[in-house]
Amino acid sequence: MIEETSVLEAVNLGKRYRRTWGLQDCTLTIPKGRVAALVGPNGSGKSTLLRMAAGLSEPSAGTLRVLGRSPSPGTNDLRERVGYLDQDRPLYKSFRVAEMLRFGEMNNPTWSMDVAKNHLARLDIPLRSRVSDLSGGQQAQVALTLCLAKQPELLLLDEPASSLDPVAREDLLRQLMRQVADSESSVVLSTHALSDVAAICDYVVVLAHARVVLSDDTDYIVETHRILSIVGDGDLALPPGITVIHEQRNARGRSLLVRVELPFNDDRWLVDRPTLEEIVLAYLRAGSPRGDGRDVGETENGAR
Amino acid sequence: MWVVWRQQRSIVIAFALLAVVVSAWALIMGLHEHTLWREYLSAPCKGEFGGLTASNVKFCEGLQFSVSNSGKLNEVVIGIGVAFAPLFGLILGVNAVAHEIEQKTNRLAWTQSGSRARWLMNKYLASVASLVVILAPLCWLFSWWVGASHVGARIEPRVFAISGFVEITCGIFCFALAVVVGLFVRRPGWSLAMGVVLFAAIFLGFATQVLPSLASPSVAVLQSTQLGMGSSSGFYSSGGAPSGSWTLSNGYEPKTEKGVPSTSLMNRSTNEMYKCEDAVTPQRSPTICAKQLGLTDIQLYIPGNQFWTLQFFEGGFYLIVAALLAALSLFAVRRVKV
Repeated sequence: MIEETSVLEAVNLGKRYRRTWGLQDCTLTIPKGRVAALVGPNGSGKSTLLRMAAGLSEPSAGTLRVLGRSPSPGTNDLRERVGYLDQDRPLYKSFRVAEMLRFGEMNNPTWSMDVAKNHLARLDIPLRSRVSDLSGGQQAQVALTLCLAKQPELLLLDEPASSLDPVAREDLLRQLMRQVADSESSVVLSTHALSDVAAICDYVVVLAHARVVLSDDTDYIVETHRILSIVGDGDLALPPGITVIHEQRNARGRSLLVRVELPFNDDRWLVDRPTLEEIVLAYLRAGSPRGDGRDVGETENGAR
Repeated sequence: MWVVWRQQRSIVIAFALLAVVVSAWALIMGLHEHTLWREYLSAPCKGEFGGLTASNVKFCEGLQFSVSNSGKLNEVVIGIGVAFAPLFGLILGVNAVAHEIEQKTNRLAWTQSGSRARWLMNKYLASVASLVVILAPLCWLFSWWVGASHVGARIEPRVFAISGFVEITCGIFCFALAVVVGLFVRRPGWSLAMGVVLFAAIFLGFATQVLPSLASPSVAVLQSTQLGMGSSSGFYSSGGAPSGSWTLSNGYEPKTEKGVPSTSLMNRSTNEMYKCEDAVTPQRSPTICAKQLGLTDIQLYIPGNQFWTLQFFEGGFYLIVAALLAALSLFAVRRVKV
């Protein structure tokens, strides 16, 4: 039996909503055992990709494999192995927290009541509380508990920290790190918070305009990007093998965020190492219609 | 199953309480009317025309007043009886699917280990069980009440739906209807409104167009007798459809006609009668016209002994359609977009 090395694999994946594409030509592979972040502006296709991966909707084009299987409403065994947290955090509002846990226990053979109760106890969420009486952040934690106690091989989390206060947010991120470390499970989460990406994710997928514009290990991404600055002489050409991701010009000169696959040695340029946040932002700006620099893929000297 | 019960608990309890209230009302009214009718139909009030003496007229008029007053309340009971099961089924069905889709809790349920089909099957099983448990005793009580309160023959369309087990099948059908509508409409309010309109159309269409054609009608001959003279004269008809039967129509047919006449023949004969009656002087009665034209005054009716046959037809129809809707919903639920 061949061991799966990727938890999510998409080839030319597309999802069409009537006339518009929610996701288009998406090709990516997320390796096993990673905490991967899907980053992109609203409407870039993050939720669409996660819903397809959770088997809630089916692709309009291309193929998608999750844990080696095609997710669809019919693949029961895959649902046992995948936990999904929707961005709306749907819960039965009239249920008590304990009843929500019972719901999870009755619907999942791999459920651990200890995991669920310990997680909620750490957060001081009483089991007797009615879900509708909890705050938005507490409801989000209950929804996340349902995912974690299922003990899935793959956690798909759609903006899990969006309604949490800073403390709860940090708790959640720590919990996710622990989950991956303890159970060797993988996590794919969508987020707008680039600080979260830098803090816990070791794999990043950047989506813009329903397409993947960057997908790689965070270490590799940081290693292969540079900020090049030059004072004056705005038309100085770049050496081959460099892809300009984003360019800014001002009165003093030019500043470029570039992708460099080979060592860069050109004394005329001031070279800086960008943070992961700066790189992701550059890709997002480049992919945005309001972007104030050049588009992704635009190259100097024909290099790409 | 527990999850479904937990979701629908408040609706089921509310309808159960309503059923208790309606049952208590129907029971009290039924016992009261049963007593009234027993007195009204017994001597000295027996005989509607000319059978009353001066001494008992007042007593019988009082009884008649009480009976007719009960009639207004009876209409309310019939209305509640007819609407109870469909509304119960529709509200359960809307809550089961459209409400979940609107609240997006279907996304939670559909990403657990069970399949969507199992999710829906559990809803069917739990809801049908709730419907049967609450509607079965209510049906029995309504059936008794229809007889006790003399609101009409149980085979008549007005009370037919609350006189047997059709009410239970209506509830199950409405549940399946609301589930299917909810899967496509996805909004509880709209689903309920559409469910009410669709059910009303199907219910009335079946009761008025389909059901009469499923039974074998019989013909009863009416005998008209002239009573009194001058301004107080009138006609007293005897014979006709036996009690407990469902009268479909009144009219005339040629004396030579054997068996059940066609509608066109009945219409033609009846029109001839009207022309004759309009043309002649008041001294010439319908009896004379009928004699002249060679027509017989008849009633088409469905005998009361066909009640259970029709119950099985209508109940079976609703159950079969409910099964088809359930199959459609199980097919469609896998394709619902999220």
